[in-house]
Amino acid sequence: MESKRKWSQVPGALVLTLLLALSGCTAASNSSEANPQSTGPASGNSSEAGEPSTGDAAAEEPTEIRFFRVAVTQDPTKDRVLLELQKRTNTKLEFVTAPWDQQATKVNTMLASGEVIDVISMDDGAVDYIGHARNGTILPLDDYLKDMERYPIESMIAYDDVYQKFLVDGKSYGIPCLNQPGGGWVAGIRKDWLDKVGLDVPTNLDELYEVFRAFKEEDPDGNGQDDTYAMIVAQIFDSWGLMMRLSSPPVTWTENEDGSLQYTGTSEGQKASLRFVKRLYDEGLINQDVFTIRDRDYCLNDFTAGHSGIGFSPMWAKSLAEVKANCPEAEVELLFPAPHDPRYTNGATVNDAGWSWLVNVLPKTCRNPERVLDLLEYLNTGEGRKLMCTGIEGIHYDRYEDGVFYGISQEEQDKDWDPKDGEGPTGHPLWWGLTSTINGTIDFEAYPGDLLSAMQNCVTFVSEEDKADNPFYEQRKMICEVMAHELIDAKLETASTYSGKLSSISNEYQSRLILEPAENFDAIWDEYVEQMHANGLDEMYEEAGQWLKENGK
Amino acid sequence: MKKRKNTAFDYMVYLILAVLGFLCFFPFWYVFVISVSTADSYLADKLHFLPHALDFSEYYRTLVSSGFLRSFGISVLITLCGTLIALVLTIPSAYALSRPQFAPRKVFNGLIMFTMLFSGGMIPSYIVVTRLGLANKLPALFLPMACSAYNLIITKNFMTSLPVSLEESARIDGASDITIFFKIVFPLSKPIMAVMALFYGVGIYNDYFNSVLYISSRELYPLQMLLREMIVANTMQSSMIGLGNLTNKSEIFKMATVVISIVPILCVYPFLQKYFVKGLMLGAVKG
Repeated sequence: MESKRKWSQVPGALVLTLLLALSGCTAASNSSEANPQSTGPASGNSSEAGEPSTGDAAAEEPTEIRFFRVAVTQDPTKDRVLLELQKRTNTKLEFVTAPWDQQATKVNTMLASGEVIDVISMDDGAVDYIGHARNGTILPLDDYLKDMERYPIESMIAYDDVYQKFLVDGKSYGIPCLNQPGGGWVAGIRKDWLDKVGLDVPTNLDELYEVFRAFKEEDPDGNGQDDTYAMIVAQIFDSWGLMMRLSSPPVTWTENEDGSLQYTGTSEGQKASLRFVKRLYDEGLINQDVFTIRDRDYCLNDFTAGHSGIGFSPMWAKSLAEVKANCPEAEVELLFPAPHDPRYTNGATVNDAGWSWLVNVLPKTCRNPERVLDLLEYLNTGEGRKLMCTGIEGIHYDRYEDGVFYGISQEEQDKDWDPKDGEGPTGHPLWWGLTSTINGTIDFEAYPGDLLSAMQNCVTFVSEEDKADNPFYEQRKMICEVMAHELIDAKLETASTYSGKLSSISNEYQSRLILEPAENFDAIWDEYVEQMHANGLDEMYEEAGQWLKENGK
Repeated sequence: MKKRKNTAFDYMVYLILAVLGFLCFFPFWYVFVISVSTADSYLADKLHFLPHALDFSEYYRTLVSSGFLRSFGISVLITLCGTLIALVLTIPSAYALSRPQFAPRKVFNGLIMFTMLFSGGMIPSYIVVTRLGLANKLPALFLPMACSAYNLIITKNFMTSLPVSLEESARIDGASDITIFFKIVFPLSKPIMAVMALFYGVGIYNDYFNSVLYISSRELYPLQMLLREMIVANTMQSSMIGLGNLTNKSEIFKMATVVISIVPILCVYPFLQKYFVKGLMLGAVKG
């Protein structure tokens, strides 16, 4: 009986052992053989040899590519655009994805676990790009990019001055995504309201102040109620950026008149911008909840609802229709360049920090770097952009000529993606951000060694309907004309270390400067500058100065 | 018996409780009011205490938006499967650990406690799950948390409180360990099973982080992941690229989505809340 009881304990012990295995975490060995998903480095992987392969084998069998990008909603086995892309590039794509706000967790976990992934679209603001480059978790691409015939576009992008910050110790570790600055956000103003209050489109701060006053006090919507503002200002994103750029350029570093280096956040121009906002706030000409609004869409939504006269939109070609739906009498004119104080800035509201944000990197587990680079190269060609932006000729549109798509078929587009769910009403959901955010083609050959000019002279895609009657379709191209330039074209290590803390200090003092009595303004500003210097700004100055000296700019 | 008259202190307590109750309730009310607002009333009213209009169109939009019902079904499926597996593992294990005749129980207790205090960490977990071939498969959403050490210890404490004399009398009648477990212990354990089912069920239903790590295909997104994508991800993307939610209904849409997502929990929770309290008490007073 006793013996029988002992034996009956064996299953219980086994179950408990299983439980331990489940509730604890076993550090599995890191060998690639253990990974059932991994086929290990392909024979064509020349990362060790340092020489690109010919890719002949890949011409026969589609190359499997596991591609990480945030927020992918399309299925490459069903979506006709992706099927066509795979056919043209002889690849078999698998997308690995994560929400925008979880990409760092996902990317870092994949890289640390040694999971096979062939290319990662990395946000260098969220993931430590430099750290991964130096740790060897992502591949240096210089050996591959030497092949200028095979990768002419990527070679140009990777080493151009615009994307200097992605070079780590002089080596390229990723192909930067071709971004349009600041996502292309531009302010627009109700011209019909201006006419009612007898003002012109403002070009300087005095004129802008008059607009803020008139739009608040002179009932521009004519409903007899005090329910309008010139603009909803919130300390997040678009509208705040416009206000801060009134007297300071949208760059991190500038040069003083004496040639010395100046951090924009503590410049006299920035102080003047904040003083202007303070004046508007104290006089009740802007909303009083500047620092509590957390809805990024609020400013634009208020504008489209007809409650404010200045809005900020990334795509007026679309926003105009929404404004008209609510206010048929509305006429919108772009505030371009933005009203500004010419002593400090040129009216740019977006900077070329926006040029450099996403970067496609090849992890060390990449099975076939040459073929991955082939894919990325194709995506940046004119054919690749047309396919990714608007679809397949003969299916999603009838024909294309000089930037204009004729006969775009909404019915066919709806079969592959759903504009109602925010998946890109102007084109395929993956047109944006896979390798480019430019809704158009770039003639790289026409501007050898000058990527900036090539991008500034891109041909913007447009439908024949918008081309005929939409004055704003070239918005994203227009902003390049006044774009401000970063003095420091590098990713400073001290910025990575201190920017979070400096940002917190800046946010705190901005609210104090606006909310506290006007007589304290100068004292608070001095305290703010002192705090910034004591919490990392001095170190950033030192590194930036050193960089400037070494790069002769 | 004469009813005691309320004192000023009582009224103060009522007031404080009322304020606390309001603070707990208001976020739900706020979300609901926005979810039934029209675009105009949402923008006009900054406080959202009362609905100025009733518009359920965003609820309809949420329900018909791509994948909502599928994700809801996936959430229900993984919640049921995960809870069942967790109970199957937790209840017998807790029983074994609670019986003094199970000689190595102290060793196992110590090892289980160790996993509770010292987790292997996210990356080892990720390696285990992906190398088991579970990546982008639904079991990845419930197998890694199939047995919680915390829940196991609470259940073990409950089992310890069951009278040993019941088992002894059954054993005298010739019952085996299996018979004793299913005929005696199992029926007596219904309260703790209800508690554990709720703990596991709510945990799995509300979890999104495992989906972030292990699920790549949108077709396998559980509800929480889809909601997160709808509310956070799309907003960020649309803000950056200016596509999608260029409509003053986006905030109303988010709130309607939130309301729909909490309905299943709201339906179940009030009826089983007493078990939650009971479960916590069990963990607190036994050991």
